[in-house]
Amino acid sequence: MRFNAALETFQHSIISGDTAIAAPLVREKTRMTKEEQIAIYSEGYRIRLRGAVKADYPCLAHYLGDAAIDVLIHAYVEVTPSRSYNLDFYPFGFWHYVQDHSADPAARDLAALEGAIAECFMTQGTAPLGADFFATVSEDELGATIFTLCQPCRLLRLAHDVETYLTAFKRDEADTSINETAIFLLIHRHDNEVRRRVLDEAEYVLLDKIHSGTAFDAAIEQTLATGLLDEESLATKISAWLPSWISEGFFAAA
Amino acid sequence: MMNHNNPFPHLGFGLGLRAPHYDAILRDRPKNIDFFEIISENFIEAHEGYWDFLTDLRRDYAFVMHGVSMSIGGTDPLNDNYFHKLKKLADHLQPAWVSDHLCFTGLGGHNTHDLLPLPYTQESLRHLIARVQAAQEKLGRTLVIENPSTYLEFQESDIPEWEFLRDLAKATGCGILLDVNNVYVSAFNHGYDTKTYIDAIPADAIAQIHLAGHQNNGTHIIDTHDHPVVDPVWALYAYTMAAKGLRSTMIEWDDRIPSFDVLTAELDKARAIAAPETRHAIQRRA
Repeated sequence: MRFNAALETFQHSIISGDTAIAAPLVREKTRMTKEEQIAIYSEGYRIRLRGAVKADYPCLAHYLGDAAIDVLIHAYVEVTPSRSYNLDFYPFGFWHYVQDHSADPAARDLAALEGAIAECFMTQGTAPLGADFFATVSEDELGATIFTLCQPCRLLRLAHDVETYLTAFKRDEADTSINETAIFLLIHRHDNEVRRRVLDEAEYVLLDKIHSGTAFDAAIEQTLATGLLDEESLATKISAWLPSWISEGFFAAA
Repeated sequence: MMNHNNPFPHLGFGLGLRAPHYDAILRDRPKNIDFFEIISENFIEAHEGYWDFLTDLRRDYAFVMHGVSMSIGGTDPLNDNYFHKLKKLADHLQPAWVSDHLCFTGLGGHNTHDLLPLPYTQESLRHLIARVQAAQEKLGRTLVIENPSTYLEFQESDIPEWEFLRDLAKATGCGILLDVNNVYVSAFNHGYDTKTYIDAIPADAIAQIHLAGHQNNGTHIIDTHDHPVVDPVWALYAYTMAAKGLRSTMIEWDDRIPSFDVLTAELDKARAIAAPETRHAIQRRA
């Protein structure tokens, strides 16, 4: 068999888990069958990918229990070959899989939260606009400016209070229930640390508008249009939010 | 026997830079570590905080970069995105060398995240020679290739691994990262003689030595990097040092990582075993 065909057959055998496929390529050993030799690679492949996923979703594993999360992870690995040379990126897609394959809506929200944390921890970032930039722009200029949220970040609108659950988990205090309460979060990285900021709904809407490319003043108008806050209340809130948004490096140039 | 034509600098005795010890290393700057080996893929796409961390440590330590995803034996085109990022990190850190494994890691855009074995034939040797030469051009530096632990051999292999590696180094000028534990593991799994392997490797091509622990399952050995180095591997290391001369030596421990003291104790064992060769080297310089 030609070189390339041999490698393709061997890889297919490993990824499919069917060790018989590559057996004709392999030399006989006295202590192990050909299939047993191939199984070392086939099982190692699965152990490695499963381990990478489970390491990024410890709170979901706690909530579901080992048996239930292992069913999800094993199924995910079987249908999701790795496409990156970096194993750290492989688990990023798992939370999407959970959205489609878990019947538990709280588990789906928790997976979304831990997936966002993993992505924000690993991925490279954009440079934030510093306080010096905001000190030099006039109010009118600020209102007309189109920003984007500094990467990596994820805005999450969730139906369950998985943030409280995750906080309790990190303190070894989490039980098995998650409250059904709408929460709004910004997951971002600042000073090389992933942070979770619980947002007001209006703050979420405003940041979401800004992130989707709406100029600052227009984003405020669209937030007011939701009826969540009146103009005075929103103005008061923004004057409180803005300094922390800037100090935590939320904004990048669009 | 010392070889005086080896082009790779002797860095001393090093450890893998692994996350559980980042804080202690940054804080204490241990003097008994001569160099650190980083896993290239852990950093080439990492955020700026990791690069700052490496830049900081690099002021005090020599570095080597060790990869697991180059897939130099694969048949997909060499991944330009990967090489671009690898070169960027290498240009930034200026490691003593960049290494990867004699293996393939995936085909068709898939990655198995494993060091998969290759058939050792004239056809695959020609393929590897071209790939190593292309990789060296992309990186603008000599590549160092490590012998992997393998758990099977291809029927069609008709070149022993040690001859394959030797011929690859001779044809491309690449260096060899001689993993003494991997020699031991593969020799056990495939029934060949460890000293035959070591003897065949040209001393002037050896850039670095790896030592690690493994798991012996009776029928086969797995290269797990989660145990201390076993006595037969220490003995083979002593044989290698005596036969090839002093070489930069590094302990790999990647799973169930112990305290830093345990790692440095392993490194001290390597230093003690290599002491006669170290004395020879010092006398030569004097």
